[in-house]
Amino acid sequence: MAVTAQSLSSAPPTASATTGGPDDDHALAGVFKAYTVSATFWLIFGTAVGLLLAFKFGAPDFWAQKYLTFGRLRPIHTNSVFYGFASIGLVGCAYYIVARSCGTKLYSIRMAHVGLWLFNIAAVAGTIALDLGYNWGDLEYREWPWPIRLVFFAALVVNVWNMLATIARRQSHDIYLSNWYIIGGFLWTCIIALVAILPWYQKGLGQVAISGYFMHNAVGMWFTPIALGIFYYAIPKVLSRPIYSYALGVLAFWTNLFFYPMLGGHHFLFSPLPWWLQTTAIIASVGMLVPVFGGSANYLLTMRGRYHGRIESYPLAFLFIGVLGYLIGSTQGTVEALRSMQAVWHFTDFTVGHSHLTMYGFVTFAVWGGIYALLPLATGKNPGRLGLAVHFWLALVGVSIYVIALSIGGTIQGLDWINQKPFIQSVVDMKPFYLARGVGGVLMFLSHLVFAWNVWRMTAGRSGDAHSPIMEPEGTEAEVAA
Amino acid sequence: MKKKMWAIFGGALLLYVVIVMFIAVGPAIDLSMTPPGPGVEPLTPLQEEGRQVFASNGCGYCHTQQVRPLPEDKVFGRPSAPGDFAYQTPELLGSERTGPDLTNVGNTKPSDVWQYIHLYDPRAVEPESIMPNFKFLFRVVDKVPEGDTAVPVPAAFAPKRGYVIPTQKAKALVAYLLSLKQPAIPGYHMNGGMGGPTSVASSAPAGSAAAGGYAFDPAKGQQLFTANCSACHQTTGEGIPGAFPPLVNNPAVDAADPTLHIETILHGAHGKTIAGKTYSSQMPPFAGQLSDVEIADIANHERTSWGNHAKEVTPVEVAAIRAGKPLGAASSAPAASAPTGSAPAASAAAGGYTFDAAKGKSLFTANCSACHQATGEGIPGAFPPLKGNAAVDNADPTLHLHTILHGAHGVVVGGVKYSSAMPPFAGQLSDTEIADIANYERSSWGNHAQPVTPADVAKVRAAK
Repeated sequence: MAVTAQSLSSAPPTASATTGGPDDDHALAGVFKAYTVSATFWLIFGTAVGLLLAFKFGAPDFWAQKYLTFGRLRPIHTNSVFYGFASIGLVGCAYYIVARSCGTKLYSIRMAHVGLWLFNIAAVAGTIALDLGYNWGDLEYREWPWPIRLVFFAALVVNVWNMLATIARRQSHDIYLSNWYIIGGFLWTCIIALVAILPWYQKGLGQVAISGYFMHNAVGMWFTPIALGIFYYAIPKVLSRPIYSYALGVLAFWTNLFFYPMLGGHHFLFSPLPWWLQTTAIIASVGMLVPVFGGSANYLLTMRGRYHGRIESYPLAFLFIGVLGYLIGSTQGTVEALRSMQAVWHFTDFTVGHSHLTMYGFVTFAVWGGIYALLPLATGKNPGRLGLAVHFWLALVGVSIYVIALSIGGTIQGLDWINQKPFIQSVVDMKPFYLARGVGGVLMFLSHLVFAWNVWRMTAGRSGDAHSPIMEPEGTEAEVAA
Repeated sequence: MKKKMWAIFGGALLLYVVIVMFIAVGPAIDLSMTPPGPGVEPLTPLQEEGRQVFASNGCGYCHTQQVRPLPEDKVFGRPSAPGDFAYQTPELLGSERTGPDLTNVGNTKPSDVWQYIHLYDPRAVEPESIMPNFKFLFRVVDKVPEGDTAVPVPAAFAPKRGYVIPTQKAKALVAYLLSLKQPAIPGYHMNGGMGGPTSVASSAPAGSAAAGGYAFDPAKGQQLFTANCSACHQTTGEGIPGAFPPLVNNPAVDAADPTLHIETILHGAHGKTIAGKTYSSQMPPFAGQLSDVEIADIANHERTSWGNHAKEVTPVEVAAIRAGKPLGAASSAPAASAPTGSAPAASAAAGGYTFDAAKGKSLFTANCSACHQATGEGIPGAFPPLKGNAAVDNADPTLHLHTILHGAHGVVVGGVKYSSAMPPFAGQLSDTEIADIANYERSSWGNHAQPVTPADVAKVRAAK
């Protein structure tokens, strides 16, 4: 089945290939643990704020004081889950993957910790700045004052330097696919950060062009590639079988790189931005179906025949939902980018549903899948089975309620506007959906508390009763036996 | 091995940089040089400060400032043009409309009083609103400080004791909001959408305006009322005491002759006295955005709701009033009986005028004190003082009256040049009202100039 010339490298090298001694393993586990603990803190903080925001839709006068007003907390929520939780969580997994897949020890443990400190300093300073009202023009995901974004940029540079130096001393000739995505994500995001920070060339409408570019590249060229890098390592690892097609993964890499950067303009359809820029964005959004279908098919085919195993192995279940979130969320994004659909959904809460389907259903499940699949291998400690099950189902049911509620509500909102009802009608019509979103949000937040408990058991606490993330090979399958 | 690494990562980085230059940096440099459109002005320092308050408090997360060329966006104004954003850095186009677009809020909600009440407690004017209150932009004081005006928050939403005073931040924010007005683009007409499923929904109410074809649709009337009127007059039609007049039992609304009612909807109003109370807030004109049928629907909703029983109007009557023609003899007869102070011209006959100091003060507060201040001292560097002003405290009232009638710009007062523009009041105040204001100014704060009469005002008005 699909044995390519590169099939040798299509199985991620195993831990036994490491040249490092127990000290190096211990140091690498320390890096992974530190990043995971930080990410867990930011997840709980950021989603607690998110839950408060959801509550404010029903009780707008609740905690309406200056430092708790909706408009200051909203960017704190988005920035802390982006740059606190998701970034740190992904980079923690990435460090482990880079070192293990290259069969070498990390170039510098110290640099990895410095990188974590820089990420945390940026996120703490950014949170404080936003709460004090230092918001750079409500420009989504780049609200932090520029010196703070410079600290985040420094974290990227330190970490990518460290990872490149690690890859340079790898044992194999090939560079495993995960590292393409991880290093690509870092390098592209360095460019994104610079383009967004430099102020002197973006004024007025020119800044709108950068906002559209930044908004989608910051998610699509940072979170997406690193999460995909985790999939390419963790799914084969958990299943002890090679990725279905290495070539398909390479195709998805280059097409993703070609199409994704150009689709940011679809955030400003029907705006005064040049029409060609908007049309290019729509074409690129459709083009994204190539890497999305190619990548998703690759992951799903790697899991072929082991679907019933998902339920036996929660790490695989998290990764599976992450893949589905990637497939459904990205396809939805393509549909949303069409002008006819955009005329209904733009500016509505449908968009908020979409961003949670992708950032939560895809990226967050990928982070959890990566942590549950790899952290026990690093620390030798497992979470409890019950903890895994409760986390998985609360998060899955919660995000499903969240996304379905806002998708239906957002559609009604858009139709209200099209039917030229008074604006306030769309606010009234959203009420039940805001409530349902809040219910979904509560379940999601509770799942994060359980996740924190699971992280505790995988790091400092007592190991739980879950099986090893590496699944038993399935004897009935001939190819596994072979 | 190093070579392979550079090939993959260097290639990926290079390709990305090329794409970014083409899709983002290049267009950004080009678009940054977009010249301002006709009539697009930079913000004043106060409005700029308000823009900061807007961004700091994340207003842009729920309110867009971009109008799309789609029928559903017509309610917010004409489609945004590139030149509209020439002075907007950082841009505040926004990406979500949990609340309405604000591109034209300075036109649709021109009353600072409304803005203050709405910021203090949005539910005081819009019961279904889910916007947070911004009470932290206000102070509650026992005594209104000199030069400040208390916000007339409705009793149910006001603090138990004391007066609500906007802070500097609130004033700046409201100045910014009121500055949000789309300048007209000469020769531009809305062409009705760009395709997609929305274009079929485009309602074309003008089509049914043929005289015979009109039948009042109460549901439509209520919907239009909610969209355009209830923010101030409230769904109960009771208005907000001290801020927005009631329509219930309003002598202009519940009257057989619809002229004043329709005129007010068409052209807006300001400083009206209804049932003995003067309402200082500005009502915007709707002539430019609503068709005759729509105005007839709104008027009929108002004339038949909340216990009002006035005769229904037709789009033909609206069209006649819009064109400035008098209505038929039958309907024009009762016009003189409008028992309100809203037609002050009636009392302007030269012999009948006596200066009413209280009236003068309230008109001054409504129209002048925002800039010239209650103390008459103006604001140094921004608005000239009236106290000791050579044009005001002068036996010859010509320059004084001329300035009130036609506004001023770049005048030198007491050796200081004031660059801010003063609006003309000729279109909105009667001769009597202007005489009242002038006399108040001529006799306050130590000024002792001779009083003027409405006849004097009429003379200056006629002289142009």
